[in-house]
Amino acid sequence: MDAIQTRGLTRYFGKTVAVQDLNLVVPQGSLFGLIGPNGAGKTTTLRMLAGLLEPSVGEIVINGHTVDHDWHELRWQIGYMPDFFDVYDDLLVWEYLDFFARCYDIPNPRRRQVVDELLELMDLEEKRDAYVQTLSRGMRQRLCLAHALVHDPQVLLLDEPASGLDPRARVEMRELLRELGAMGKTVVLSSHILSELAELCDSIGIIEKGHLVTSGLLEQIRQQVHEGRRLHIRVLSDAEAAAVALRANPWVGEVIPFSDEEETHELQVDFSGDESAAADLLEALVAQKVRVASFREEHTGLEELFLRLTKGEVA
Amino acid sequence: MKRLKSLLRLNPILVKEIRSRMRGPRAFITLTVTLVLMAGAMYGLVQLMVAISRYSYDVLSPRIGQTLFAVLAFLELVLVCAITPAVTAGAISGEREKRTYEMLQATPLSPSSILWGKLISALSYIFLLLFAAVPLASLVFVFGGVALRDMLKVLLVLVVLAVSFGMLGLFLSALFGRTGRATVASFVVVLAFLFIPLLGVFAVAVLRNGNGQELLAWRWMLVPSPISMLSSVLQPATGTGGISGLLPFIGGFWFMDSAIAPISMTSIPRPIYHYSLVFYLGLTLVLYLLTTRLLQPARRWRLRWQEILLAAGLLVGLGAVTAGGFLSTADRYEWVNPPATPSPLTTEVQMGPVQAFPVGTPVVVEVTVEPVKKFTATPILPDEMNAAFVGEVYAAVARQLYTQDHTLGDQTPNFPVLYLVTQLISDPGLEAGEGKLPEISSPVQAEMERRLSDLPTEIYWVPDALSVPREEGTGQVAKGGAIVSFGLIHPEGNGTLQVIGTILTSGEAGGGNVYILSQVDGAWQVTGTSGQGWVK
Repeated sequence: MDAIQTRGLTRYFGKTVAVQDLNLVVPQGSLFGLIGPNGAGKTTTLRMLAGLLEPSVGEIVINGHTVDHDWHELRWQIGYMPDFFDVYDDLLVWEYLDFFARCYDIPNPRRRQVVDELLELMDLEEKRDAYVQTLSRGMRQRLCLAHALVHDPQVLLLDEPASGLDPRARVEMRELLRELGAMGKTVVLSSHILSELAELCDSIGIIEKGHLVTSGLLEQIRQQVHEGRRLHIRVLSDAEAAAVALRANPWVGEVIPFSDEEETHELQVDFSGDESAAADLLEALVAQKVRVASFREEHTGLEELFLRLTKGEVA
Repeated sequence: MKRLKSLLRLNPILVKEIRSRMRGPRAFITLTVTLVLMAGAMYGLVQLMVAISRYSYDVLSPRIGQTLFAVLAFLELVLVCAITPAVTAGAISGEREKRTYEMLQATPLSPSSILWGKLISALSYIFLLLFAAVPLASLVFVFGGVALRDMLKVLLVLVVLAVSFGMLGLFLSALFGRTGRATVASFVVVLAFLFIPLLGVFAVAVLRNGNGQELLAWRWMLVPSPISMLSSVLQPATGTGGISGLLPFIGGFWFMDSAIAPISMTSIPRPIYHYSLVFYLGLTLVLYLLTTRLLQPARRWRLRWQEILLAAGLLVGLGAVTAGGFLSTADRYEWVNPPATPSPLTTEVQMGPVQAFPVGTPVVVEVTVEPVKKFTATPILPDEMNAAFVGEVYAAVARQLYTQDHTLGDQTPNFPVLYLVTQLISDPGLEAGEGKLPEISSPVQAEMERRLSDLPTEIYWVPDALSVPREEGTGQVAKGGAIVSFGLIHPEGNGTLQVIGTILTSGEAGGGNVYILSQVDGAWQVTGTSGQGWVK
């Protein structure tokens, strides 16, 4: 069963479209990464999933309940951590968690136990009696994650849980999320850096300008991106021989020759190999005495986006 | 069952707010500064009143107590108006600004729980400030002059105002989402409530050349003003003269001066604060319902039928409370002593000019309220009937005043001297300016002396209350005596008589009533009152 499913999810802010026609499927128990550049609509999507924002159009189904109708019941099943937040001043760490446990109506012996367990899970036991405002950024982030776990929800919606953390805190957060995944929870988290999610998530969705570009298992998407690679090769003579040589290569799919009035020929090649395979291909052509005038890769939109995300250049 | 349980448990917001409210120095500094300022004001006032009392016999101990009480009440009003918006205007917008609000909305905590938690925690702080001033209020009891009932009324008004302004602050906080704007807006609205009604009435008074009858029709303008509200509560509790002479005007008691605003004998205008309480309770309820909508994260105006039912129930409840309050007090205002059976003899009588109790003390004002009452037949003048009958009736009234209604509680009065005034008190049975009032004739006097001879007191006849000897300085009646005056005898169709009787022991202390007399075993006896007694 799918933990989260959206159909035609769309949200306008005035005339701007923040999210358009989003069809998202998150299987139960998966660690799902929502990835896209800033302003792509990640936060808007997560807020709609958390029931904090009303979709302009479309429907959200979580664990078989539509958010629209069963929102009151769904709040018991969803834990939400916003991307940016401040903490209450003049409140102790344990009181902070105690407050949210009270919000979920957890009676006292159990409440104390929950608070202690969460402090242990988040490695915050030493800070139990510290004021919340004295915590470091990483500790606050963990405390905020703890607050979303107070009622042991099935679905966790985490907006940029690792943003603003130093490398060490980032590793700790990753370990925590992995632990939560092992506990069988469905976790949806967002980030603008793919490498951050790649190590953690089993499936991802790439979102840009409010559109879901693609989504699915991480491996599938990786493949999809590489499969989509297309080479443009211009040869000065003997395009036929070049085409034969190309077809001999195992990574090459279809080869479409374009010829014009002049002697130059252009070949469009579907290619599924990686960069070194491409280098090998060029070498083989040259060895066959094919005079290559140009050898370039055509960048598809998805690929370009993926590359930027992978390198973490989007900021 | 689950719903009931969640109603009974402690509100999480309340727990959180109370835990963090008193941490840090701010709360203590506010409390200390408030108390020091109030104590300073009270101390200065006591010194001033004591200094004045050396030069004026009018400043008696109860007067000091009443003035202190009025000033304290207004100081607390200022406190409520100044602190409540400041405390509540940031309650919801603060959470929004800190981005903690989304986390709160994602929990199953209902908007009404959030609202109640915020309201009660803010009010608990304001009530702390109010109740911290209670030791100051106890100073009032050192001087006396204020009834517990009046204190409770003032407290009720302040609590209702605090709740209303708290709700207003929360509403604006939720509406604007920014603490700065919400705070400014709250103060602007509170200031508008405080002063615009007064300015409006002032403008009407100037433009319409201050015609009292016309002003009475504009009285409703004062309803939203907390100043008028408090004035109308305090007015009966304080004396006249000086600054407190302004209270009737601010409080909308223009009908008090019958010369400018003659009123019907069958109804007295209600004090303004009765209307104000309903106004503020209604305002609070409406703001509460609106704010719970504003607090919804999404689907704000999609109402569920339970919510509509609850809102309707609350409005009906307010209506019921209002109706109950009206019915239980209407016989004191709108339906003053309605005649049991309309009789053809009924005459609408208008109140004459103030002339009631010619002693020249503030008590006079009190009497003018009381004779508002319908007599169903023309009165009997003392010289029209046989002296034995008139003497018997007045003797019964004098006995009642001497033995029961002497205003000294359960103590035995033991007045060694009783001054009976021959001049009758004016009452609605006489046309205004009809000439000199009748007096008790000597045959009647003789009859009364004979009937009252068993009382352990000397009886003197005086032409009017002014000619009674007084103690130097205090204004007490000489020799610890009391002055008794009578009104006309009104036969009431059904065989009973009604007579006004008053007793006065000093410039300040006295009492009176409209007595109902019936024949018991052939003799006239006081069997009841019309319920409109006054005690000073």
